[in-house]
Amino acid sequence: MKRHILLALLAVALVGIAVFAVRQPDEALREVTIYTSVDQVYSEPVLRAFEAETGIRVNALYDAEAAKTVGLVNRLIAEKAAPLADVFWNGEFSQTLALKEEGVLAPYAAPPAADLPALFVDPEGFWTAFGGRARVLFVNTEMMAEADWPRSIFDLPARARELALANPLFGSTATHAAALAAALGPEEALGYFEALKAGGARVVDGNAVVRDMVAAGRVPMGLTDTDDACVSILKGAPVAVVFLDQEAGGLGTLVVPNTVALIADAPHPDLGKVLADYLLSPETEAAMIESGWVQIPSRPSPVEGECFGRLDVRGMQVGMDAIRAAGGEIGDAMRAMFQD
Amino acid sequence: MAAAPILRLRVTLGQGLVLLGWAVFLGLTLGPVAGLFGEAAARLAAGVPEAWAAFVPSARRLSLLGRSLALAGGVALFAGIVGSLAALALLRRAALGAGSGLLRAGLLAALVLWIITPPYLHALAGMEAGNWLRAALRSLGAPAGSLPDLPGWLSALLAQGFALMPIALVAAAVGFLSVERDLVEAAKLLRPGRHGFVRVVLPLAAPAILAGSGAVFVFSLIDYSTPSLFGVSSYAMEIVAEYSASRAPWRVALIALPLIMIAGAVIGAVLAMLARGAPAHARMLGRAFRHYRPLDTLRRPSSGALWLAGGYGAMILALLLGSVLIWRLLPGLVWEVRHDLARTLGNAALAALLALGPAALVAGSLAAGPRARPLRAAMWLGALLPLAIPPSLTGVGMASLLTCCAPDALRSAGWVPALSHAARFLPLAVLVINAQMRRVDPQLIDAARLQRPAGPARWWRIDLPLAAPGLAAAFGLVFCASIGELEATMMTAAPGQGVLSLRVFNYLHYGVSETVAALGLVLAAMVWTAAALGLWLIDRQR
Repeated sequence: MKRHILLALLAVALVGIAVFAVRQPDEALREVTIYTSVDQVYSEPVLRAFEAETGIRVNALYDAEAAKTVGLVNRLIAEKAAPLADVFWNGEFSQTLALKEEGVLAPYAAPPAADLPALFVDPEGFWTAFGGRARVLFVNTEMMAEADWPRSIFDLPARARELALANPLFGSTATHAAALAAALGPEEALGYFEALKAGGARVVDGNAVVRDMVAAGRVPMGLTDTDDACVSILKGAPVAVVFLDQEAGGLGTLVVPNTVALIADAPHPDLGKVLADYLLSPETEAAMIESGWVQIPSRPSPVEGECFGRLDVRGMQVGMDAIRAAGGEIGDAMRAMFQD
Repeated sequence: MAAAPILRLRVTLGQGLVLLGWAVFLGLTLGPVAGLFGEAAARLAAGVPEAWAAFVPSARRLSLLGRSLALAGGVALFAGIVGSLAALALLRRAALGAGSGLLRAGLLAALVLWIITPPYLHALAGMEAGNWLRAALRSLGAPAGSLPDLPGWLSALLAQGFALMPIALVAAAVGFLSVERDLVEAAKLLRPGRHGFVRVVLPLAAPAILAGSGAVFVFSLIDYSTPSLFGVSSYAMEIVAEYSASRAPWRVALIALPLIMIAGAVIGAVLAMLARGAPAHARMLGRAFRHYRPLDTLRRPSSGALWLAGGYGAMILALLLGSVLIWRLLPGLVWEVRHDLARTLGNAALAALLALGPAALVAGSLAAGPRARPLRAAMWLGALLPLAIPPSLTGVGMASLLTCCAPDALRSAGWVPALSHAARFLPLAVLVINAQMRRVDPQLIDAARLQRPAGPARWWRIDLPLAAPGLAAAFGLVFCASIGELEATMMTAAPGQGVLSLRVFNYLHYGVSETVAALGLVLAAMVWTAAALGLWLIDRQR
């Protein structure tokens, strides 16, 4: 009797797996492969909408924040000789530039990029950027009165003990450090981070952890990205964001755009172009503003974000290539500072 | 006269199978990283300065390594002490017949879930519990910031210590159970009271306790995620930082080398201790321990440790089940992630199946009759050394191997992560099967074998049924561990073939949300079902 029960359970499990796993044969006729570091909760609906509109099946590989930047970018480099991916959609730009240096990307002048600012298009056509997120100071309004909020990034070293930031060796905090190095010079940027560290700033795992610590009142303020901040704002936490250095002639805050690129020698180059065009279209950018991934549009948009409405943010006036180069200059020193 | 060649052929076939088992085992577990080390060695031999810079640790790296060793040592000490005391208390309750079957089943379910949940999720859960506590304090009128955080190193130590404690607990329980009862009774006659425990029971159980603590030490040393969560630098993170900066897998292998060597040395030391300390009767686990008086020793601290562990487990479960919202989310979520769910189950089952054959052959060769000590030691070290390899390095090695040598059709296949999971968890399967083999009385096997001549019928009627509980337990362990695996999956998952662990970690970007809790519950339900089936099978076998 027990044996029959066990066999029945196994049969049900096998049938269940078959029902769930089997896909229709005609689905595989036209397919395109994308690697994306954009959070799955934001990117998956866009890719599903693409499938529904075009009938092209999308095989997506998503990154995980816990993997640091070890995941997709290194895999793309490892697969350079025999790529599986057709398109790379990155939530930031620094790693895309690294892929260009490694010879992983193929040039493509995407038609929807025609109305994008010049800074958002690689002169050689290896990547195209669109709407992004901004670095912000995230404050707990119960712990800090508005009059007390810092307004410049240069106010932070003196109050480092009240601050949390993600590990500057990874992610958008690393890009922020590189942008400061590009804007201020490597020495001054390194001195800035040394002051933050010496002042007792809390260095934690990622921007999401910074956000949660501020929202929970574990620290009064932290540096994070607008998309992370938006999650807490929508949950009704006692928090607010400060866009730093917004005064006339000020440094501005770092804006981190998405980047889309085609992979060299990809298995489906034509369908890759179709997907890249879709991602770079104004409609996709609008959808991403509405979903909360993009807060800073790259062109006039008919829609507003739920968290911040229509933003007019002064961005840092440094080019992406300069930021990438500065990141390389300060990389070893930053590692010695934060991996000590 | 004619039987001799057949016998020789059979012996050769058996040896061939064992050799094949070892070849598959070593190929899967060490093969991917061997390729990386081969490339690194070639560059060292060619005098490439970058290779030598990665090979010779700088002062900073040495200092980092020292602090990582200190943290891992602290974690091992904490988990070893609390786990051993909790094991004493649990055994005492079991010996007295305390607790209903349902309660014991619940405890076992919690223990299984606890063991297979990655330490990073434990740490996040602990952080979330702290946030709840703060919110509760604030609702009572306490000012924000009134509950200060623990120092980062202490938070990391406690988070890893609690996450890895079940390993120490199970090892200590095995150690206490293996102590010969007659020896204890004799010692008690000479020196009654606590002295009997301290002078007899503890030394005899010490090898198993130290083995558990050694395992905790190794797992703590190779985990970068938990220290990173609390802002503590670790040597394991240096490996990740190196890969992120240089994108050269061979450099990553060189940076990881000191960590692998130290972890390997710890594994070797534990094995030597077990070989020296395990008396013959330690092979006979599971003997009756009802009214086992030494368990009465250290009653208060052991009860305290059990409450501490129980409270922690309850906190994790409360976080998992506590939100009303997740029950509303579940049906829709399960449908949404059905493909990931199916692939997760399929991969876990395949990984367990792949691991079973080589693990059984390797475990069998380890449990086989006496042979030269150095060879025996080398075999054990070979079987357990893969545990010393950081999971991310296994993933990197596997990805490099696939890219270099596998056809596109294989790399696009949804089942490839099963290979990397088998590679990661094969040593655990070997340990479980070997432990089962040691439990079976050799005289019983000999007696049974007299009834049947050698051949498939004997294998089917005697050898397989005797090994079945171990095989089922190994299958269950690899299956459960595979479900939550992330690092190797990240590097081997085929596009469009996602699995649940990737989705959970992707969603963690939003903190410990209801969706993450609901997905965690789905994973837990899968693990519990597998564990319950395995236990039922083992029970039926008995």
